[in-house]
Amino acid sequence: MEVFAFQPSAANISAVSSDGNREEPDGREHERALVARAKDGDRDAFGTLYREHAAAVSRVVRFRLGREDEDAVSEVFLRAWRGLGSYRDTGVPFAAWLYGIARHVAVDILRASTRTEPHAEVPDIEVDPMTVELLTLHDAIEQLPTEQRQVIELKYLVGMSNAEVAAAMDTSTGAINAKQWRALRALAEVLEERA
Amino acid sequence: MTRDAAAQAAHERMEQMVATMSEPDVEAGWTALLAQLEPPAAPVVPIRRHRPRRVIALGVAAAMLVAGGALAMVRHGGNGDQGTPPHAALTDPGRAGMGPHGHPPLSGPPAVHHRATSRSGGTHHASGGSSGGATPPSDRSGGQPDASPSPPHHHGDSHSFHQDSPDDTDHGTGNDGTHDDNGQGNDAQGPGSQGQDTQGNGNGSSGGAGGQGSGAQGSGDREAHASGGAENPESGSDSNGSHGQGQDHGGRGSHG
Repeated sequence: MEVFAFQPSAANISAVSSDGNREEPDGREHERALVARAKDGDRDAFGTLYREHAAAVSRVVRFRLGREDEDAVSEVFLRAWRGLGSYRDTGVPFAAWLYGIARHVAVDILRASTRTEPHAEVPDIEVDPMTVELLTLHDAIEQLPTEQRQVIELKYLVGMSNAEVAAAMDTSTGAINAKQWRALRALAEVLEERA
Repeated sequence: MTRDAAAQAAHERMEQMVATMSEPDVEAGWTALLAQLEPPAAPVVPIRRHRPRRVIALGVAAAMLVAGGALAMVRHGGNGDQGTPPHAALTDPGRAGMGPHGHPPLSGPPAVHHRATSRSGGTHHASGGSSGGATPPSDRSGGQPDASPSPPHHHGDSHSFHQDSPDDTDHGTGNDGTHDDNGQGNDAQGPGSQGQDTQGNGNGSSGGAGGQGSGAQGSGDREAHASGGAENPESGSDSNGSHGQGQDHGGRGSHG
């Protein structure tokens, strides 16, 4: 099974950038040790990784699918477990790798759902106001350029710090800060247009 | 609203959306996931199959092929050399041209021999021999005086008889195997053998005037016994009719 790591289109991911401005996020050594143990088949270590990142993966899945889906979250970690053999620590946070898997799982689920033929009329379901807000924001974020969309999702959904986002996108923290504000301004404009 | 204020508002909406998302039940999710976890698949490494058996089989086949070719070459060359054995020509000129197996020629000398026999007063083994009854020296170069037109015999039929057979009715002193030629010659090597007659110099008493035929150095010839007697009308032909390939080296016995 091929596991696609999160790779921003604008930049390659490397362990340490050449500019030296980017500092390694805190807890990276701890995370590396857990990943190494998990690659050796240590389920307890993988369980620790699951507990640390399950909430973020759940948010990404819900944001992508528009609903909660525990099976989708399990599928993400199942693919991660199977793909640990091909995982290479290039300095990118493990959460970014999980984020890439979650995106693909969400796409697979959406594609499968589109091929499902309805056998009955869709009943009237009371929609949660927060779900409406989520779908609104989701549609607006989808209008953003890829780099800005990735910064928004990694920053708010995955919960990465600017340093971690910078490591994931192979850029500096200052550049991520600037991209974040540009993405928020673009998002505000899209939301204003839709309003 | 300024652009920064709009961006700030978008930021607040994003944080509010994330905050409203419920936290998943991590432990329940992990328990469900743990049952599905399998040992991580090892990276696929292409394995190059090593097949020593194929190499060994090819080597053995090649060795057998070479060995077979060499053996066939040696055998073929040996057969070609058998036509002219150099040792035979050197040691026994009389047998020159007899081929590798020592078969005497079936034509030529017998006719001459018979004429000589008739001229010698009944003794039929006097061709080339010295007259007077004296025992001639063994003549290894003698012809084949009594080479009968019997079919050639095989080498394998080289039965040697060093003693007279119980059925042998002659009373000769020589050992002549199983036939009743009453001869004097010794054909100790028996019928069909090509060996030399080491039992030679047998003096046949029934040979009458046959004198003393010397079978010494005979080739085990049953056809032309070195008997000097004339009792055997077949005069040296193998009474058994099935033996005798060699030469009669005792055929030059003295006439009686």
